[in-house]
Formats: sequence, structure tokens, C-alpha cells
Amino acid sequence: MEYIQFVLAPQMLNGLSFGVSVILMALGLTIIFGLLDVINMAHGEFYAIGAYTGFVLLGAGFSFWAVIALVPISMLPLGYAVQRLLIRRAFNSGDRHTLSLLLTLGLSMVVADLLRMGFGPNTVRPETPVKGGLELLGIFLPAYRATLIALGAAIIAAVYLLVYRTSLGAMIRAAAYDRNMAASLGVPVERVYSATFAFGVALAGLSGVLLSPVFSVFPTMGHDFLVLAFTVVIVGGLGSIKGAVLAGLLLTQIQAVSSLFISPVWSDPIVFGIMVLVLMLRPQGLFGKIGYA
Amino acid sequence: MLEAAAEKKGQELSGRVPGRGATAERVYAQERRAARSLHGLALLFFCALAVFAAIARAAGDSFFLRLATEALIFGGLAVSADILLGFAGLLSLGQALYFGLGAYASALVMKDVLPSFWLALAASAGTGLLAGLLGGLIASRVRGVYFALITFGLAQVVAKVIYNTRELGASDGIIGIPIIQVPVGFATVEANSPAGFFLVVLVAAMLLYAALSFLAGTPFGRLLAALRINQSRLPFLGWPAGPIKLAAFVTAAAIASVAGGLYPMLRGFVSPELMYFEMSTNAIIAAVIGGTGTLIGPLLGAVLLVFGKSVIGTFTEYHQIVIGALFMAAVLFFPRGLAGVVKAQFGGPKKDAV
Amino acid sequence: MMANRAPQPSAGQERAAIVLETLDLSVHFGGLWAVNGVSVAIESGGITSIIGPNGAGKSTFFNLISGAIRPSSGRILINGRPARSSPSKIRAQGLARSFQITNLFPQLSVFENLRLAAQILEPMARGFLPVRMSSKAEAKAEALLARFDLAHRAERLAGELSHGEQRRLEIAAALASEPQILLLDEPTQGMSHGDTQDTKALIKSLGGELTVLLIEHDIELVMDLSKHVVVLHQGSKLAEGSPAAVSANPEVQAAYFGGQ
Repeated sequence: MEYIQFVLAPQMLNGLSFGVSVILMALGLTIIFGLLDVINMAHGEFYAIGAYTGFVLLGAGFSFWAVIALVPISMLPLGYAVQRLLIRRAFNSGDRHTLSLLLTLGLSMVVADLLRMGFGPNTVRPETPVKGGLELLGIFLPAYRATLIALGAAIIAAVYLLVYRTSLGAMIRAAAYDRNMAASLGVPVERVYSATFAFGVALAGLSGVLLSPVFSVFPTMGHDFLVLAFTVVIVGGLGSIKGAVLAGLLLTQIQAVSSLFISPVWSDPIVFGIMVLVLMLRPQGLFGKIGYA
Repeated sequence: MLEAAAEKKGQELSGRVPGRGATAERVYAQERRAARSLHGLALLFFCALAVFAAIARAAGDSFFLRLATEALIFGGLAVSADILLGFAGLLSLGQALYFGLGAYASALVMKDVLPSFWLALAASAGTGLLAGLLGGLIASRVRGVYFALITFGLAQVVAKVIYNTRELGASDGIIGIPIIQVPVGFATVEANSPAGFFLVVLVAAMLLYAALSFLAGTPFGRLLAALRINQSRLPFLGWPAGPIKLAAFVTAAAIASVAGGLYPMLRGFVSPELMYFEMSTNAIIAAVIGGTGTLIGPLLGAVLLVFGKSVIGTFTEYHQIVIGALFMAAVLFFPRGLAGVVKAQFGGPKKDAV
Repeated sequence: MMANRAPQPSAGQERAAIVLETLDLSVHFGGLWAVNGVSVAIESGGITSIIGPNGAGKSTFFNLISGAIRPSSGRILINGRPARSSPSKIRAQGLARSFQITNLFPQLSVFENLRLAAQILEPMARGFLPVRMSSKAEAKAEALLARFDLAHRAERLAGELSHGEQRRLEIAAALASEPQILLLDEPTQGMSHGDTQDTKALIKSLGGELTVLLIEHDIELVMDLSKHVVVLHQGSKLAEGSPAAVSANPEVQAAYFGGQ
């Protein structure tokens, strides 16, 4: 019983707080793929941009709550521009997946170096915005982690509502399902694409801000995280929101609990092994595309 | 009209048409033209490098000779990545894994077993075949994004494991590789002789190009190209895609491993960085800039990339920005790459063709 | 003409060999039965047409027989033996198909398309020798070019061909492997009238050489060419028999012209 209270439960809650942020990042990836059919290899860089932006804003004196609103908002135009200027060109080719992959790969190289140029290679770490701890049913949990869980859950719920309960969401789903039909029904498809890409990118940035006090900020912070995010997306099903949420929770819990028994070196191989298994046995993941999530 | 022709030719179908038809000759002539333009470029490339070696040696240089050797070794990795990308149509984001494994195998053999050139390369080749088989069994069931992500993940995982393995030198890798003698027929070349070893690697690159060019002109090579164009039709023509992809994967892995096996002979050490994502993506970039599907393209691109990085590096330490930007431009505006442009210019159909 | 039961040959006729047979073949996608308990027995030689209104499951039926998709239940027999599980193995059993949407290699020359399609005629080892040594495949490609009147377009890229030429190439490629059973999925789709007549003649001659299974919307063509017609409707077999019998069948008429 004590084991559960002092070891297992806190670890699981830790995993939960991590999972929630991973889900936000994976949501962005899966929405971008589900709608635009684009693999965004630069997603990790947007995560890093969000973290750095947050760091700068916090340093400039903005409150944490302001920052988590400002960062994603400020990233919307960035994402919109990237889609319009860059991604769209790869869109009309038949080799769309490969092309967008390569393009965003190049982009990620440029951005990573730009970040290094602007902020230096060293790691910085913003102060934990919500200090202290709290006790929940006898389990001790750092207050910030608890905040993360609550905040993350709320944002995920908001995204779900946006996609499934608003007319904007309906337009997005229509365009994902059948681009030409949606266009003939009056949906401004090009703008929906750009907006969706911007939205996905903003989610990545938000994830970056939220996790920065936990994992610190450095130019290549997006890379390892990207593997995990992609794994979540694949296991959950490319394009599925429900899938990203479930897979995100599942994988991070597996990671958290397994690290109690095995050396952390094996954490990545396990996650990767799961991705490979899923790809081999059920390549479409747990659920389907965004249209039928 | 067609019916009459059909009935007439229908009889011809039952027996073999003797001799080679005029139609086939016309098509082969056209294919030859395209191939020749690329071979011409390759010849130019190899000659230029040979001339460069002569000049550099006369000038007493060792830095640029070693850099060029490294570029060609890296070119082997780029060719490996292009067999998958330019021929089979599969984007591998983890080809450096086989390069690194080959390098480690070669290093271990030279250091702990016998400082023998052929033994080391044999170990690399064997490692490549085995690892390629394992990796291929996992990866070749899927394609597109999934293939890229599996190869990506595979490289990440193994690199991490090696990074954490003390017996393999952990993050420092293996150092202190002895300088070996490369037996070349009647003479030997010292591995640390800049011009000598460069020529060895140059000859290896030429042999690789020749061998792969031959393969490209076989039905197997054609099937690979067809795989890239329309994978779904092949099984209906009788060719299951899986085994073909696997064969391509294993071949590519073996080539990458042998190329990697040359690395410790040149530099005297190996480290996990050889397997990292950056290495894999650089290989893809070299292939794209040089021209995918042309065999000489990746070699060309590798030399350009390595020398380009060196040049850019003298101006700024942020060469990724330039390379990344060039890469994006190539992907958007010059997807055929340099060799591809040459092929289109000089290898296209005759102007007076029907 | 019972639906869902293979018909008995008429009395006095020698029972021809059954080259292709499906037994209660079904497949469903997410709750919808695209093909539902279809049983047919195709006799050797001649042209059998599969017709039915849109959505009847004709192409799905072809996909099942050619191994593109797996059935949910039921069996497929080729020459009395169970059909294998993958398209390449089914091709080895002597069945080849063409596609409704041209499914070839647009960036390869017409000649190369056919040569590749015929490569299966060569032993495997030839695959690693220069292409020019695969003389059988080359001869086959030449012969097909001649028969399908594409010789003058041999060096062109397949993607540069006109629609009608591409449809012809599509059929030629299926024929390259010398199958016994040829599945043609709407071969005249999108063709001009002239091209359609030419192709019709071609299919007719093919019917004399092997067993042809034909999906077509052009009813006139179907009635002219077929010795046997199978009507599918909403995934099930509605009727089958000679062209005259089928066109006189009131249920078939209702399915085609009746409202819903």
C-alpha cells in the first residue's frame, strides 16, 4: 500500500503530466497529417520555438498565465506563413508525403540552427511557475505537475470541442474527408489548410512552454520529443484525435511505470518497439483518420 | 482495321518472333542515350577527382585529400540511401545506422582481431547484410511515412544503445585504430597515406558505380524503378513487392556498411555520431542535391556537401542554415538534382524522333 | 436462374471445365456487405460478363478474385484449386487482370511497361543479367505492341499516351504474362466510339484464345460479345444466364431501370 502511495502513484501522476503535454504535441502532428496529409518533421522545432518564446516572455516579466496564452497566439501567424509559403508548394505534387517530409526536414535544420544562433547552445530553464506541492488522496505531487494535468486536460477538451462541435471544426473535417467536395460547398479550403497548420503548430509551441520548467530549454530539445510524438500519432492512428489522446496516455504511462523497474536507457527502445509492433500488425493504429475519429 | 491486324498478329503470338525487333532496338537506343549521358558525367567526375589527387599530392597537401576521401566514403552512404529513395521510392531516415555499424565492425576487427583491410571490410559487409536483413524485415512491410519513421526510430534506438554500452566505448567510441596496409595487387598502400588511400577509395567508388550501373540495367533494377513508380501494380504482374523491397534494403545496408568500414581506416576512430540522425539526413540531402535515381548523383552530392560544409564553416559555424535552405530550394525547385538535369539535357530523346 | 447457386449446364452439352469458381463469396467493409454470398462457376473459354448497376460490387468482386482484398467468407477456386492469398501467387495460378483506372507506369516507356509485364515469363536468374538477355520478355513485348497497334508509340512514356491508347496498354500488360483467365475491368471506359469498336474486336479475339471475365457498362457490347452474363446487384448475384435470357429477366430490368 505504501508502495502505491509513495512510489507508484506519484510516478503515474508524473507520467500523466508528461503525457498530457505529449498529447498536445501529438495532437498538432495528427491534425496536420489528418487534414493536410503533410508530415511535419519540423514539429519539434516549433515545440522549441514555443519554449524559447515562453522563456523570453517570462524573462520580460509576463506572468505564466499570460505566457501560455500569448505563446500559441504568437505562433499562429508563424504557422500560417510557413504553410502558405512553403508547405503549400509541396502539396500539389503526387509525391506529397515524401516531399513534405523532406521540406520540413530542411526547415527543421534551418530553425534549429537559427535558435542556436539566437540563444546559444546552452540550456536554460525558466522558473517553475507554480511552486510547492500538494497532496491528493495521500499522494504527494508537485503543484506544477498538477497544474499541467489540469491545464492540459482542459486544452485537450477544448481542441476536441473545436474540431467536433464548431463550424470551423466541421469545415476542417469536411476538407479532410473530401477536399473538392468541401470546396464546392463553399469551404475556403486553402485558408482552412493554413489555419489548421497554424493551429497544429501553436499546439506544439504550447506544449513547449508547458514543459519548459520541467525539461529545460535548448536548441535541439525538439528532436527526442519528436520521436515520442510520432510514436503516439502512429499508435493512435494518423489523423485521429481520440487515438492521439489514448495512445499518448498509454505510452507515457508505460514509460513512467517501466522506468521503476528497468534502467531508463531502455525507455526509448520500448517505446520504439511498440511503434514497430503497431506498424507491423495494425498500421492504421488504434483509430482512423480525422474525418472518422 | 484493328481486328485484321489482331488476327494476323495473333498468329505471331504463339511462336517466338525470331531475331530482335526494330521496335526494341529503337527503345534500347533511347535508353542507351540516357545512360551514356550519366556515364559521361561519372567519367568526368572520377577524372576530375584523379586530377585533383595528382595536384594535391604534388602540392604536399593532406587535409584536402583526407577531406575528399571522407567525402567519397560518405558518398557511399548517400548511394545507399539513394538505392532506396531514387529506385525503390523509399525514404530512409536511418541509413546511417548501417554505416555506423559497418564502421564499428571494421574498427573492432582492426583493433582487436587483425589489422587486415580485407578482413575488416568483410566484417563490415557481413554486419551490413545481417543488420540489413533484420532492419529490412521490420521496415519493408511498410512504406511512405511509416517506412521513414521506422528507419528513423531504428537508428535512434540502436545508436542510443551503443552510446550507453561501455564495451563499445560508450559516447567516446573506439579510438586507437591501428594504421593498416591496404594490399593493392602487387603493392601496398598505407592507410594514412593521404593520396594513396584516396585512390583506393576512389577506385572503390568507381567499382561501386560500375556494379550498380550494371544492376540498374537488369530486370531486377528495372523492377526496383517500377516499384518506385507504381508499387501497387507489381504484384499483379507477378512480383510480390515485399521480397523485392527486402532485397533492395539488404543491398543498400551492405553498401552503407562497407562504406562505413572504410571510415576508421581513414580517421582512426569511430563514435556513435556516425549513426545519428544528422548523418542520415545529410545522406538524403546529398542524394537529392546530386540527383536521385542516377547513381552518380549521390556521389556528386556528397562531394559538394562535404566540401561545401568545409567552405561555409570557414565563414560561420551555422552551416546547417545554409545547407537546410539549399536543401529546401533543391526539393522545391530542382527536384531532379544536378545529375538529373544533365540526364534531361544530354540524354533525352533525339530531336527528330517520331 | 437461381441466385446464389451455380447453374447446371444445359442438357446435351458437354460440361466444359470450370476454370474459375466462387462459392458463397462475401466481403464486408465496416458493416456494409460489398459482395454478399456470390457463387459463380465460369467455364473455360469465351467471354463471361459481369454487369450490374453502380455500386453492385463488380470491381470488388474482381478485387476478391485477383487477390487484392481478402474475402470475409466463402471460397475461390482456380482450376479446381483454392486461390492463393496474394496477387502475385494468383498470377502464378494463371489469372491476370486489367484495371478500371489505368494502373501502369507512366514514367516508363510503353515498351518497358510491356517488357516488365512479360518478365515473369523468364526464369528468376535472368533477372540479374542485362535486360537484353531476357529475350522472351522482349519478344512478347514486341508482339503485344504489334497486336495492340502501339508499336509506333513504343518509346513514348506511358503517361504521354492518349486515353484510348492507355486503355489498350492496360489490357496488353495484363496479357503479357500469358494467363489462362483474363479479368478486364471496364476496358473501354472513357474511350471514343472508334476505339471502343476496335477494343471490342480485340476482346472478341481474346475470347477465342482464353477465358475472359469482363466488367462493362456498355450493354450493347456485353450482349454482343458474351456467351454468359452474371448480374450483380447490391453485392448479391441477381441473375445469370445467356445474354438474351438475362436481358429478358424482369428483375434485372427492375434493378437497372427501377427507382429506389
